[in-house]
Amino acid sequence: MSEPLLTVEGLEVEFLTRRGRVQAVRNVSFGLGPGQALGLVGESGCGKSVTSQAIMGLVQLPGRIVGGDVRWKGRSLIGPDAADYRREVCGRDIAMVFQDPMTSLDPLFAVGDQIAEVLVRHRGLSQAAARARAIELLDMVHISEPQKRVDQFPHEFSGGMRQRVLIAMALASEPELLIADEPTTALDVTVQASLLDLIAELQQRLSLAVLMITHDLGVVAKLCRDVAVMYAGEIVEDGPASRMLHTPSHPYTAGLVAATPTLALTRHRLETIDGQPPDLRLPRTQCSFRPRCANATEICSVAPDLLPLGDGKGRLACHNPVKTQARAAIASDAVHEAHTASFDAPLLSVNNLSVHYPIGRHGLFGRRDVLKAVDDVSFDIRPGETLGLVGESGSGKTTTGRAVLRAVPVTSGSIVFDGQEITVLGREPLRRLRRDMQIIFQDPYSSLNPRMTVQDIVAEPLIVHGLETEPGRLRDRVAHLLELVGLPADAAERHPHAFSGGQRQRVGIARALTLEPRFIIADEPVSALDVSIRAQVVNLMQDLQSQLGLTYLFIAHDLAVVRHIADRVAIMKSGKIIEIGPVEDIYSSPSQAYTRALLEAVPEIADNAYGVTGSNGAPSSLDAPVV
Amino acid sequence: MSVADSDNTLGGDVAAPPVSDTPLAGGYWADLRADTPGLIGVICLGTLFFIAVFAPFLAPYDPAAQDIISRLQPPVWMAGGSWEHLLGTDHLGRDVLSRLLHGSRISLFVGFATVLLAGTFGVLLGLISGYAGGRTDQWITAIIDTQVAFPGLLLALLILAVIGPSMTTVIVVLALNGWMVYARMTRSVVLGLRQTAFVEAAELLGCRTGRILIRHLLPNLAAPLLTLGTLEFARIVLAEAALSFLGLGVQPPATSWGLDVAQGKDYMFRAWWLVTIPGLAIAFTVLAINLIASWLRVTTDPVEREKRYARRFGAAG
Repeated sequence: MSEPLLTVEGLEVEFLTRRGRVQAVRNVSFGLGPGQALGLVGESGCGKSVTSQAIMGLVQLPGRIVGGDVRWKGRSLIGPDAADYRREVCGRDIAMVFQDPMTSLDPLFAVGDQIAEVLVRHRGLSQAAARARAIELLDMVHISEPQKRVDQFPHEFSGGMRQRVLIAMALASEPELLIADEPTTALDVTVQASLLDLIAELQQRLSLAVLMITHDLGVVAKLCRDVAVMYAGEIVEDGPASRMLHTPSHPYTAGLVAATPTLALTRHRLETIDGQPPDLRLPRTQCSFRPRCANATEICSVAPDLLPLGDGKGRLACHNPVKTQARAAIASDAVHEAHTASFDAPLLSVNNLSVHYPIGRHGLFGRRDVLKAVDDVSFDIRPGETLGLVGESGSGKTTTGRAVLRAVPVTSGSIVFDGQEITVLGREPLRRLRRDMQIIFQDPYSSLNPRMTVQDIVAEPLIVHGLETEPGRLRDRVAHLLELVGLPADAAERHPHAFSGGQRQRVGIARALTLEPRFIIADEPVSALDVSIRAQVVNLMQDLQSQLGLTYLFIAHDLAVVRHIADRVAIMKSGKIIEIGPVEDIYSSPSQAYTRALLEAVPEIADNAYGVTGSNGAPSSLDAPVV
Repeated sequence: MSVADSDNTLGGDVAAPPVSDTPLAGGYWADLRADTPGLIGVICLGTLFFIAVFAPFLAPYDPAAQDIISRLQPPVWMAGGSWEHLLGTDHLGRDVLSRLLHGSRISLFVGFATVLLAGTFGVLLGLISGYAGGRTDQWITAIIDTQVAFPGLLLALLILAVIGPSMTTVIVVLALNGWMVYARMTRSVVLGLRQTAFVEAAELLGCRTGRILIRHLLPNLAAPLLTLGTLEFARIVLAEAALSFLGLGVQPPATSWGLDVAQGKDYMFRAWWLVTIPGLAIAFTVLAINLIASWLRVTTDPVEREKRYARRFGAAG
């Protein structure tokens, strides 16, 4: 191994809160050599982002670094004495790309000026030279017509293009290390794929070291040669990606690998890691993974140290490592019996549905422009069936779901639910319809009113429909529903903020079930959740379906998850359904090129474990700006 | 079912930095005790309210009782002052202390009533405007803009000239000049909240509009409204004083601080205490309220709250 560029040694970061000291990063050590790509993997709250912030000197109150050291080429970056060196290094030698490309660019300045600013400040270039270099950089990140686009403003770029601009900006100062904090999480799969290719290519070409922070093992598999897995603020295992992703030793790593959905398997239950991460306010005495670990024994009450593995292939902090291969374990889990797509009459039948939005007109008397959000869409869903509706952002999948709920105005077409045409329903019949049709939202954080208790949230549908008003019986109903979705009974009295993302999503599911609907539209119900929690919620939805005979319209951008839950799948693009059919057929032999592109873009663990996916030409055509 | 019994540990929200979004774990009182300026503000305002309520029992004299012989007596600590009139007497020989105590009643009552009236009206219009959108929103926004553009003092003069000054008119006039702030703030917050998933969820569950406004939107407005209301209260106390100073507010024999300042201005060089003492009372009240407002602003914002805590803790240990 070459001399390390970046050394993190015994890093400790804590957050001072009124509810106690949260030890967000506990004794984290790793090194990164020139040109290396390290994936820092973990679920939300495991301290991976805080670690990167600590490296960049971005930890702010209420957080503070309480121990350890971060060294850049042997010199410390931590502490007041190092302030000058840190200012010199961070931003110039170490550059960072953030998750959200929508808010990371200043909307008031042309992208070229924003890149040039970095060049003028860090490289001392003149304005003219900086502009020329900005054009070069835009070209390097594969933005077509850079001469023209250099003067455009951020709103004229799509999400993927903005992330490219941000990468160009990060590269402007010719850094030696690029820290990428979930750079592709907010983007569509095809855009994600092209960006990962770009990062891999730049890494090769500029022999750039990359610290990739992500929760997605597929992303790591595509890009990184080494992986470090963090859990509860600690690194529990690290080593080469080839070993980590295929024969992981730590039970948590193995659980993560197993819980990651794959395109290869259909409708089997996803492996879950039961339980929740530990409370980081408590002192670390036992192994932090012990409460969730299947291998736990008596010895695990003593926290294991992170020790080098015998064969020199990384480090491991575990007393009872996993022996078998993670993937093999699943295969025995038998394929869930496919739902009998019976000859029943469809519960929901959508015919030639269109939703158009006016988006201004040409001149005062000119032609009115319309955005065809949903354009002549037809599909049926039979009782007890799950239809997956897959598409990228802007494809109209969410609008289709909202139109079926009559939450957006329908331009034309018919929606027949249970033999009844619902596009013509008035206000009161529509309210009655809500009892049969419910929705599960994407974001478990914003979909629950922070000022209401779980009891009030779950009971509300009964109250507004006047079905139950007696407080005692309401409490019983809520208790029953909470039990059904696997929440403890004392959850009822709490406010949503007391729960984790997965638990909040369970509350959202309980609310959707309160009125005992027959049909549920699930709008990306798991895309905001962590991998292991995602598996729990998908399994819960499947269990509820078989218990209660529910019918789902499952909207998602994630082809792998859809494969696990859906009977049939419809692919949407630009407002149209371009392909629809049974899951097996679509995944094994897609008839449309677009479907194939979508399938290929899904980053999978099984992909090349050594990173560096082949050549990359022009950006994907899918990367064009949206509307 | 492995899912059902999986995550039974609550409170495991370990996302760093953990931030809660309900008011407070230990209640407002515990938080207040740790914040000295806020505590001083609350104690001062509490004392003022006590004085206002019990003014008739506390005041040594009838505030309107004139005694021309002992007019313009200085306060007790000055040459010529006496213990009979602690803060001296005014040009008609009325006891300044008694007038001060009684004056607090009107000043505080006007402040309260105005904030309540303007707040209710403004918040209601803001809720409707923000939630309904479209034509309704345009009309209400136009009304707000017109009202803001219209000179407040001119409107006050007009109304007071037509109806004649009284405490009720003063309250109505001040409310008419003040509701726009609430409406604008409510509207902007509702515009944001209307896009959130929980409001959409409520709509799709079949909630009627009234319920969405009252149950879902209003509680989420509580924190900013509380802060705004407190600041407005301070402004109203000043505005009432200004109106009374101009002779359009409270009419004698009733007393208010603003009226006292107005009446004392002619004697400013001979008896400075007539202007200064009620003036100080006004300043003192406004200061107390502002201290409370800045405490409320921090306390109702979860992020600010955590930062304040960390700063304090970091300084102590």
